[in-house]
Amino acid sequence: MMRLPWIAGFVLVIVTGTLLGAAGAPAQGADNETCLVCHRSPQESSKPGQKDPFYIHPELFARSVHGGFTCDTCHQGYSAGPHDPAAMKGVDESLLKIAGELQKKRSKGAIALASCVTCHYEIFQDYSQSVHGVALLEKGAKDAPYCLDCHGPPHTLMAKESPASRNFYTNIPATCASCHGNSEIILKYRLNTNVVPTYRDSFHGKKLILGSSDVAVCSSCHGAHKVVDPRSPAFMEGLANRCGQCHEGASPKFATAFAHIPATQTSEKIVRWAERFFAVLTGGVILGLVTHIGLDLASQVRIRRRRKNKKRK
Amino acid sequence: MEGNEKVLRWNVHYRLQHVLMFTSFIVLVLTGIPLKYAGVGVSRVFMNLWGGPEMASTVHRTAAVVMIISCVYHLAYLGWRMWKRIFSPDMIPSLKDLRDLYDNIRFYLGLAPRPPLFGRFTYWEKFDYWAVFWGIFIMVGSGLVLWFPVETVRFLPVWFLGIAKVAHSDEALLAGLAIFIWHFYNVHLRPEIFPMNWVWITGTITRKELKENYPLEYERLRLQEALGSHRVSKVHPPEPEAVASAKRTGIESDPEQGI
Repeated sequence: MMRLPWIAGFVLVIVTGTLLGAAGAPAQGADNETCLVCHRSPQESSKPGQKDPFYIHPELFARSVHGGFTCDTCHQGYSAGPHDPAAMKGVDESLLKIAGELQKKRSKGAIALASCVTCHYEIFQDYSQSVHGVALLEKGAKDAPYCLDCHGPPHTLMAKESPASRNFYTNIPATCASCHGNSEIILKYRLNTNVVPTYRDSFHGKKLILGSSDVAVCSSCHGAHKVVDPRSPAFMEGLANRCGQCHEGASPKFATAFAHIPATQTSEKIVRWAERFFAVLTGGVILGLVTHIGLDLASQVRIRRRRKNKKRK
Repeated sequence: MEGNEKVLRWNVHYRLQHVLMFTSFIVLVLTGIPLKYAGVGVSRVFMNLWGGPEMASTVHRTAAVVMIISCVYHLAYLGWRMWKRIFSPDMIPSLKDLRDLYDNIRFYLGLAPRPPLFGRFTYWEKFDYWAVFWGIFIMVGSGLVLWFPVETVRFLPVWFLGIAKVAHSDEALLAGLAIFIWHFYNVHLRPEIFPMNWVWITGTITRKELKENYPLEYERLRLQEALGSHRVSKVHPPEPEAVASAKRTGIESDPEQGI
């Protein structure tokens, strides 16, 4: 008879937790309707077709993963009326500091941009140690991604389980390729130029294009928020285990097989030579065979014509 | 009518091996090529016909096993024939094949009045056979590496995976082109043969066809019948008398055949 009280206790914990969680949700500062007086989507405003971030579509926003939030959950420190950045108040110091860094990305709305931290602090900690976080927050690389660069437009942001999300499993390579396949950014930050082509030509990439959702994407090997420099020992350390999720028994040596390697390295040169060998072999053989077919056809035609001529005589 | 009696060319074992080989080959091509050309739009349509890339992968590997079985069957059967001392090495390339190639091209170009006298297999039939041998060696070898990559790198360098991928993909293209252009021309599209050479089903050709297309083999058969012993038939290359006889009977006496 120990069982019932235990279950009751469990239920109590769940219920209390849920209530506390609800209470802990963003403070209900201003009513969203107040903001929408000015910021309602152009479809309902006098300027149809205009796409301006200052206009919000309330229904699309409601359907997004943060649809239940009030505007000032992210747009902290705003008061009604024409907004004066100097008059912002009640914004957390550490948030302001991050927002200061993000000013390089966007001069306006940097606080909202940075505000994901307020709830997702642990992810921010991972991120700030990542190659992207260090580049943006410490090295001042303004193109390095912050939350929304990968997670998509804030007011229609979907959970990664939604196929519309930029973080839906099979959409991840395209999301990463928006920078790692962008020649301007590759040149500017001297990124590996082979990342996208080598993935696209791999069995992983090919099966992904053909509609498989059962293959490795970028984050399967590199992780998402704590992306580290792939040349660092820290990256190689856990890599074999990640391969092992699908390739049972994968060794650290196996893990080096998929390496987006530039074509100058020896092992890659061997592969290039194999490609050349088969190109010459295929070209030579097929050319020879087609010539033989041509000769055979010509002689058959000749013989038939001769036979016909004989019959006529 | 004289000349219409059948001569066995491929017994049921060879025919079964051929059927296993070409059915698995076609399935392998249809499941593999869409992956090779994944970037081409129709590839996805193809893959969906198979039920997606995962299913196609399973089908591909199943067909691969069938193809391997056909090879093992073939080799084991040849071994059995050797053990029974009824194996004849007619498929082994010889200098005569090079000479035949040269003579045949001279004939094609109108520099010789008739094609060379072929034995049991022409040089292009031997080419087909050994091309498959080479192809199977490359495709099964690289295919197994790609099927078991983790096991491979346990005792081979990592770049073996890269080479295997190139070899599998490029040799597949070569094999596909060779079969669908060259082999299909020789056994289907050739004006004399169209719509097809039925020997892969019936296993037999007529004595007349044997005499026309493989005169030396025809002479060997006649010699064997005359002597009443199958031992003679295993001599290779054929006896000089057989060659002389074929020249007399096979070609000169029958110019209307146009060969």
